[in-house]
Amino acid sequence: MIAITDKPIVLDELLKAVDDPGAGAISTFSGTVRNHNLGRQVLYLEYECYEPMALKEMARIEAEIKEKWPALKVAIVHRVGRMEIGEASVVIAVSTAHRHDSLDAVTYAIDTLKKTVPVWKKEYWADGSMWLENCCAH
Amino acid sequence: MSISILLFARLREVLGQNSIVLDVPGPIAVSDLPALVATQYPAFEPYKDFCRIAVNQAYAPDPALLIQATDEVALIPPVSGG
Repeated sequence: MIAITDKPIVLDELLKAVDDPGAGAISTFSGTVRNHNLGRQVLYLEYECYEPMALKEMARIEAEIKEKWPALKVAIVHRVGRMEIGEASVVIAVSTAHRHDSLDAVTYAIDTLKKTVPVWKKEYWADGSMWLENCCAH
Repeated sequence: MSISILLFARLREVLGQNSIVLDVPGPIAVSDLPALVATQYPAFEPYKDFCRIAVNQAYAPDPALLIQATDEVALIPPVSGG
């Protein structure tokens, strides 16, 4: 399951998408909108993407996970548009037979997504806004 | 020939449009694209060393790749998904 949506992401839908009778573990990652960044209070975020390429890069991550780990199923959903504090902007789920593989695969998925998938977020404060850039620090 | 180039995020705002058209004498190498864009769209100059180039919805793997008029080209500013 690879998708981009402008609606709230429903974690349960990803859990269903990676459900597999061979799975002994399902690991998930939710990236959520934080109320502060670099010392400023954040009011909300706006995300945009280059959708056809973003979908291809997300599918590439799924394929890479299946090469690197014995992953059963992978789900990656990124949301775009305006998001309020606490809402999920991205959710990833991976099912595997054993827990270490699913945990490692989910970490790989979010780390890679933040480097390669053409999605951008703009942070809004009470007195301004700024496009952000992912870097290696966090 | 002319190459249509998609813009996103900060670049879309800086250049004030979703896409631009670059006039070139013939097919150009991916590595030559940023400087040519900056020549025809001076507002791009501060960003020309910070953008990746996508051709047909994939990061261009080879700087020598020649861009054709029919290719879908995009300038990808530093991403911030997640």
